[in-house]
Amino acid sequence: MSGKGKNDELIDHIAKRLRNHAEPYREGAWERFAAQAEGRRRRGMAWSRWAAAAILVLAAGWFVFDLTDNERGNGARQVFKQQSAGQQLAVEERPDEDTAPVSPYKAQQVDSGETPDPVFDQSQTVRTALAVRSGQVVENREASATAKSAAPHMVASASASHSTDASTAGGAPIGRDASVGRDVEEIVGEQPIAADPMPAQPENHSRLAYESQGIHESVSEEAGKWDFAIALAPSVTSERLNLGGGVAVAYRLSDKISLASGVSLSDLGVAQQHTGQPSALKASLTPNSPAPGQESEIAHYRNREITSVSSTLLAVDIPLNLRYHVTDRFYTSAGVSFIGILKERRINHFVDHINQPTTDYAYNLKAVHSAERSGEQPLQGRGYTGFLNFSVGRSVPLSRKVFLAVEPYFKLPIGRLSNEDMDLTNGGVRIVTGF
Amino acid sequence: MSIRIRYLKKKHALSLEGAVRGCAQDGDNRCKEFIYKNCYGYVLAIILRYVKNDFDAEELTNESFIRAFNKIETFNSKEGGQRYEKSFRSWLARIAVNISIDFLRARKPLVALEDVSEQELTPHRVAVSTDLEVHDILKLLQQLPDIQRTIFNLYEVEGYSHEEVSALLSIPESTSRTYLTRAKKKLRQLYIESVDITAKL
Repeated sequence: MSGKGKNDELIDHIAKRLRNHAEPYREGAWERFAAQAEGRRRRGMAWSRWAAAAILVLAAGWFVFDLTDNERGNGARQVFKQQSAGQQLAVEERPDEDTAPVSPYKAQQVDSGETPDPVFDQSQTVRTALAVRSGQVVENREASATAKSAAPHMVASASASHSTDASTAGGAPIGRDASVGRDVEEIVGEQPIAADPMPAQPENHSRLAYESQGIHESVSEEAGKWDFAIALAPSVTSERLNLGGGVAVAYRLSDKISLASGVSLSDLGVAQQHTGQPSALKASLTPNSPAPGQESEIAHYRNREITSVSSTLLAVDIPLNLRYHVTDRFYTSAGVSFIGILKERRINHFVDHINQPTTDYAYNLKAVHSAERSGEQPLQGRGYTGFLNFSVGRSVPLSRKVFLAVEPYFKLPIGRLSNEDMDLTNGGVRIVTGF
Repeated sequence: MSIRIRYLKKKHALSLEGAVRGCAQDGDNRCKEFIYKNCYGYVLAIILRYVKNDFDAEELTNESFIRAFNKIETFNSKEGGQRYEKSFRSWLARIAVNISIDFLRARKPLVALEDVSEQELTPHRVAVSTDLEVHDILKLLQQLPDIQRTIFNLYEVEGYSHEEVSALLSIPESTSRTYLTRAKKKLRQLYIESVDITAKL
């Protein structure tokens, strides 16, 4: 018993001495540790710094490009196409470099029997119509659309294709912010404007370049606060279930707030918006006769009628979101996306006017539906400051370095994208694996 | 202004609690340095109980601090003052123990090393006195097989239960008890042999 007691005493003594023991600090240990930790961090973060910097530069470049594009658009002149009674008026934007100086006060009247220039129709991008005659703005009778930024120096050129009668119409320069419409009965005069060359904005560019450089430098300094993730993002549009995915990067501004970006590729199936009749639909319907007044007559002679247009888009999406961490594992974010359409495939859906007889005894007629791939790709190759993003997410750590996050999100088209004839609103659940 | 205030704050002498909080808040390097220097000896001592080699022990100490600094925001204690520091040291000790066990496990299977025959245990001379010195204890301890030494440390020194030890080492609880008994027995034997050697000298 006493032996066991002595043994326990020995063990207790050993345990106690070990528990209270601390080695002395070895000189230079911290310096060695700091060098080791720094080396590891640099190795680990070298590639991610470059990736993050590239994404930021790309996003900034995209933004600058978009701004420049908008500026060009403002400097463009508008060409109005008008047709005779009950005809459609369309406004086309063309960049300065594409258009030769137009003789002022020139108006052309379109003979309704003539075929308009198909190229002109296809390049129609802004479905605004404005009619001016003798300085009077003819108001929209059908759907109205919101015009973009007002451009006081804008050429309003009524140029409809192959008209023979040209009449002059005087008046004040026309702003683009007028309410516009499609069907205008009046003939449109062409409004010349002082050829105001689009002023370059070096301040803007240099500022952005400076900001971009500033961001790049801060990335180098604070690379320790970057998070990286791979995301899979199934989404739902009005048309179908889509799949997308990409890489995401987030920079922690503080404990609660981080700035998130990334690049993702998504395959979106979209359909035409329900509000108004899309230009694509109209163009497909009446490729040879754009006059709205004659649509019924033309449709009478045509064998089929277009009912809807659907489109499949391959888009690259670069979001810029501000993320707020409500708790350690729960966060919410909001921001915008820059979207570029890489590929577009449109399909027109028709109903044939010649109904197919059914085999039943009632001699009922059945409508024949058909679909046809369209040659139009109005969105392809274009970039937009496109979506307003909203999401909430919950992350679950899988291991010490890897986490899994489930993030329901919703994307609302804004700006020019919301004016397109396709409904690009989509939402889904993003599954993110971070490390 | 806020930078100035922060700078002035840093001029004050740091406590371990302040350094931990500061490190968790903004990853401040000065706080890290304070924590490292303050806890270095404590962590190294823990690791030296498990690992025989000094060089490995220092490597693992640094590894422990790297892991601790990376996860320091997850350390959460509602206590304050001494209790906070004690809590932080326990947290740090747990990291050091886990890293040591990972190291031993990666080097060779722990259980395979258990069957060291009694003859292989060569007694070392230790300066035995009524107050056994730590370095002498470590010399005795290092003669134990890895698995026994680990279990002895976990149970007797760190205060883990057999259930926790079995979970940590992926062995049955009964095995943990057996190895602990063997470890104690061998330690006593080594101690007695050391006393004999010293007495003969």
